[in-house]
Amino acid sequence: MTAHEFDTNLSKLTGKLKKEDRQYATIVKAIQIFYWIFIPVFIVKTARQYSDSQSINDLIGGVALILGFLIIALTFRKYYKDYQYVDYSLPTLEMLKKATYRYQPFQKRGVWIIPGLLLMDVGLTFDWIREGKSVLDSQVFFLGAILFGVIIGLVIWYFKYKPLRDKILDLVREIEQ
Amino acid sequence: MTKEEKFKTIVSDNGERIRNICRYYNSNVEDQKDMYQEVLVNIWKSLDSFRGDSAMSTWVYRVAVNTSLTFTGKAFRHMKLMVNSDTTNLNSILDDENLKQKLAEEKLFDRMQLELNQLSVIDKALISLMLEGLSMKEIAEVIGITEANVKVKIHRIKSQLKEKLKGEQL
Repeated sequence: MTAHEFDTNLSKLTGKLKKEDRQYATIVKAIQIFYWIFIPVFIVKTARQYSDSQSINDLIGGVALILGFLIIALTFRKYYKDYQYVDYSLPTLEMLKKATYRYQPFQKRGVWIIPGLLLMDVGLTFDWIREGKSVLDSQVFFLGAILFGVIIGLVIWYFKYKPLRDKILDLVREIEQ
Repeated sequence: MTKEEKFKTIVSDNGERIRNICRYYNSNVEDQKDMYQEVLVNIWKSLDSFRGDSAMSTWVYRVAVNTSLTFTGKAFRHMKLMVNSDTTNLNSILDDENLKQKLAEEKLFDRMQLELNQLSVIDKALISLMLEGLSMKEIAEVIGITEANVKVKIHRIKSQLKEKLKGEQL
């Protein structure tokens, strides 16, 4: 194969890559829209609810829900960036170690999700109380939904990412031998 | 310089290096092209992180070797290391005068090709970089281990290959 054969599509490829960059920027913008437009809407909604009812519960619930959304949106943006742009120019061992971290089911940086979820739980609970439902019902619903999500996530991880992570761990061990 | 201009400069200055790595890992022309494209994609994606801490050639080799380990076109465990008898640094694997002469024999070359393909993925990566003429220090910078560690690993690979090929001659 000649160099020419390799290079013929370079301009086309560059165009494709620039398009991918634009798509990435669009998704990041969409996430930004979520927390720069959707969240202010929630703030207005909470303020109106509070001014109508003068209930501190509505205020706490609304603020908790807004903060919960914000934390989860910011965490999601960070995750998306890390997954979209893997740095292949790192030394091989470092790149592989980062990959094993990326593919582990529970990560230290994911701890930010917990306060986000707790705040959403608080917001949802106050909302349900306002509608006359019990705290127990809201907790069963919320924790059940979280547990269901975690189980589905773990099943996907076990079949899709664990085998990949195991192979990468083998490579890391071999390099470090 | 825009990202696109920087990218094109890197590809034109290092195209041969990338193509060589792709040839080492794929016997099939289509697979070579696929991997070449994937290396270019990863160069583009990693371009923003280039700080000039290492030589551009080392940086490019890192992207190429790392892509070969994660190449989505085919499972890396099935990847073969393809060497040609005219590869400049081929004799560096077997720096034994007697074996160098014998290497000219086609049978021994085929055997060597076979043995190279028995190597682990990491050993194949080390050998491909050695065949590219990189120094131990440069290989260490690409893989991310110490120079001493690279020397030990390459010495072990060479010893194993020599031992196996000696056996072939007896």
